Amino acid sequence: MTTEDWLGTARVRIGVTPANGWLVYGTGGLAVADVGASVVGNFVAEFHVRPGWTAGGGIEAAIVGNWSAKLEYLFVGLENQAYFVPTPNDPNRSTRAGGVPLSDNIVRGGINYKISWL
Amino acid sequence: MPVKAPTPIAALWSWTGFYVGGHLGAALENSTIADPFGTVSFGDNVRSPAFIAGGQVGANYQIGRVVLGAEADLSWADSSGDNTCFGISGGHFFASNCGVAPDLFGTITGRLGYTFGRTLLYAKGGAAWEHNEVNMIVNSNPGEHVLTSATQYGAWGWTAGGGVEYALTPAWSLKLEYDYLGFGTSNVATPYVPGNPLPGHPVAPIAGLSDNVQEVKLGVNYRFGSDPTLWPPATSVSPLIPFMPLKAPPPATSGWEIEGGARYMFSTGREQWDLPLSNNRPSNMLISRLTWDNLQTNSAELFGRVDTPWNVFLSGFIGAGDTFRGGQNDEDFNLTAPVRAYNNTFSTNDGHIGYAVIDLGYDLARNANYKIGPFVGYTYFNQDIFKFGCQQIANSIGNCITGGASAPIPSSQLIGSEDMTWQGVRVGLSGQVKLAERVKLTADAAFIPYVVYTWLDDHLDRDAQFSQSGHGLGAQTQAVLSYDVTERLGVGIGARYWAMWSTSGSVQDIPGNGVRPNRNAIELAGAFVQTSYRLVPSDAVPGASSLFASAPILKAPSVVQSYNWTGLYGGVEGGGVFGRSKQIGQLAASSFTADSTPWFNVDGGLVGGTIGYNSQFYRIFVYGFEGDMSWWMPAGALVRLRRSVLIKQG
Repeated sequence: MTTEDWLGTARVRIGVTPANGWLVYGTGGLAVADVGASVVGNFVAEFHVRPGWTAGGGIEAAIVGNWSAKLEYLFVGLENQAYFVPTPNDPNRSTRAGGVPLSDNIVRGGINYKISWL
Repeated sequence: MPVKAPTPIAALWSWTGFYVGGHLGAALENSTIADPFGTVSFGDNVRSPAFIAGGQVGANYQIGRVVLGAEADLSWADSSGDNTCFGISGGHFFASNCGVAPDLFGTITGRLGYTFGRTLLYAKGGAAWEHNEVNMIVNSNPGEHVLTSATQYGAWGWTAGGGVEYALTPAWSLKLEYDYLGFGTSNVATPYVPGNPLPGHPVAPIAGLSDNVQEVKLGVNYRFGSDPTLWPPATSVSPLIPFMPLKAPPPATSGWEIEGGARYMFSTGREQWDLPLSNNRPSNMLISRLTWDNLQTNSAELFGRVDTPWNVFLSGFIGAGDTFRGGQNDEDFNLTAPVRAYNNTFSTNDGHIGYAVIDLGYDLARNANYKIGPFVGYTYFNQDIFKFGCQQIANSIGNCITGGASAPIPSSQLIGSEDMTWQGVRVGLSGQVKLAERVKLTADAAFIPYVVYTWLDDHLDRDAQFSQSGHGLGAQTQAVLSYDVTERLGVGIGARYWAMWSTSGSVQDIPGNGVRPNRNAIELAGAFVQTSYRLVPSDAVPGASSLFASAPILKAPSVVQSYNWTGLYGGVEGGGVFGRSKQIGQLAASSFTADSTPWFNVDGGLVGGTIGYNSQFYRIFVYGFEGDMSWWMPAGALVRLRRSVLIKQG
C-alpha cells in the first residue's frame, strides 16, 4: 500500500487573460511529498519526504471584488525511492522495497483573495 | 535660427594596450590510451575533471571595431581521474587502474575580436601545453608483486577558443572564455616493463596517451597605463564612469534588487566507485569498479538572487530531477580465478537527483551594467540510482549471479541501488555584465575546497551493502545568457558543469570485513532554459506599502478599467488525487529475486492552502509564482489496498 501524508508545490504560473477577469494559465515547478509505503499484513510502514516535479494548468476567474475562483489540473511525479533499507531480518516479508514510484493526477478547485494593499 | 548643439557621440572604447590578469574555472581532460596488448571492450579512456586557477598576459591593438591581440596564459589544475586500462586484451589479464592527473595547462595564442559598447567578442587560437602525471597499477594482484608505473611529462599541442570580455573601467575588465586544447600521442610507461614480471604474460611495451582538454575560465584583466584606482564604485546609486556613459544614467534605486525564476535543465551525469582489493595493498589496486555513465536527467529548479544596498548578495537555486536513462558497468578483477579474471556486467539505470546551492557574496563593483564579486557558499547534491538487469560483456562464463553461470538478467528486474549525498563548501567569483541592451551574461566559477559525502550501495542480488563516506574536492561553474523581455521579465539559456571527487574515502561492507579505503567521483553537465522575474524597488518612498511598487515599464494602454491580476494573493483549495504506484520488493534470502507489485491506484482527497504573486504585463499576460501545501485525506472507499507480491523463492 502506498499513501501520501502531505504534498506541497512551488511553481511558476504563466497565463493569458482572454477576457476581462479571466485567466488561463500553465504552471510547473517543484513538488515535495511525504509518501508512505507499507506491506499489508506485516504492519510495517515507512514515510519518506520525497522531491519531485509538477506541471499542469488551469482557469481562474474574478468573482467579486478581490475574490477569484480557480479550477486546475496538476500532474505530480515522485520518482522511485527505496523503502525499508535496511530492515530487521524477517524471512517472511520483504526486507527492502526496491522502490516505490508514485505519480499523482490532481484535480482541484480553489478560492483566492488578492491582497490589494501590497 | 537656433544653433543645434551637436549630439555628443560616444567615443569608441579602446582596448589598445598591454594587460595582465588572473582567472579561475573548471576543466575536463579526456585521455585515450592506446592499448599495446590488443583491443578491449571497455575502458582505455580516462576523464579527469579539474579546478583551474592561473594568470594571463597579453596585448591588444584596435583598428576601428576590430581588436587584434596576443595572449599567453598558464593555469594550475587540481584534478583527479582514473579508469580501467588494458581490460582483457588478447585473452590475457592486463586489467590495470590508470590514473591521469594534469596539473598545468598553458596556451600561447593570437586573438581576433570585435568590439561594441564595452563588450569585446573574441576568438583565439594557437599553441597549447600541458603537464600530465600518469599512474598505472595492475588490479587485484594478491601475490607478491605490486606492478606499477608512473610517468610525468609535458606535451605541446594546439588550442582554439573564444570568449567575451567586458570593460568595467579603462583599467579593469571581466572575461568569460571557453578553450579547447588538443594533444597528440605521448609515450607513457605501462606496469608490464622488464623488472615487473607477471608470470605467464608477455612483457609489454610503452603505451600511447593522447588527450583533449576543455576549459571554462572566468577572469579579470588589468590594462597598463590606466588608473587602477578608478575602480568602479561599489554602489548601485550613481554609475560614475565619466568617459563613456552608455546611456542616460539609470534612476537612483534603493539598492535592493530581487530576482527569482525557474529553470528546466537537461543533464547527463557520470558516477564512479573504485573499490580497492584490501587494506594491505595500494589503495589504487582495485578488485572492483562501478561506473554509471550517461545518466540522463530532466530537472526543474527555482533560483533567486537578492542584492542589498550594502552590496552583499545572496543567491542560489534548488532543484530536483528524474533520471530516466543511464548505463552501468560493474567491473570485477580477480587474478586468482583465471577464467573469470575480468568481469564486466552491464545494467541499465534510472533514479532521481536533488541539488541546491546557496552563496553569500560581496560585490566589489556594481552598477546597472555590471556586478562582480567573490562569494562563499554551500552546495548539496543527492542522487539515487536504480539498477536493472545484468548482461556479461567481458567473458563467456557469465557472472551476473554470484556462484555460477546463468542467463542474463532481464532489464525489467531490479538488482540494486545507489544513494549518495555530497555536501560541500563553495568559494568563487560571480560576474554579471550587460553585453548589449537587454542582453546579460552571468557566470560564476567556484572551487570546492572541501566536500563530504555518503554513498550507500545496495547489492540486492547478494543481500550486501557497501557504506561509503569520505571527503574531497571539486569544481562548479555555470554561465547564463539572458534577455530582458521587459524590465522585469527575463528569459535565458545556460549551462552548468559540476565535478566532485574524493581525496580520502572509506568503505564498509555490511555484513562484512571491516573498513577499506575507497574512491568516489561524480560529474554533472547540464544545459538549461530559464525564465526570471526581477523587482527593483525604487528609493525609499514614505509608506512601506510601496516597497515593491516600482513603476511598470510598459504602460498599459488606457482602456476601460479591467480586472488587474497583479498582486499578492492567498487562498484555499481542495480536490481529488488520482495516483498510480507500485512497490518493487526484494527478499532477505540470498537467492536472487526482485519482485514487483502491479501498478495500483492511490486515490484520495486533498485540502490545503496557497499563496502567490501575480504580475500582469503587456496587458493580457500574467506571470507569477505560487506555492501550496495540501494534506491528503485517504477516503477509505477510494483507497484500494493491494498486497505486495513478495513471495520467498527457493
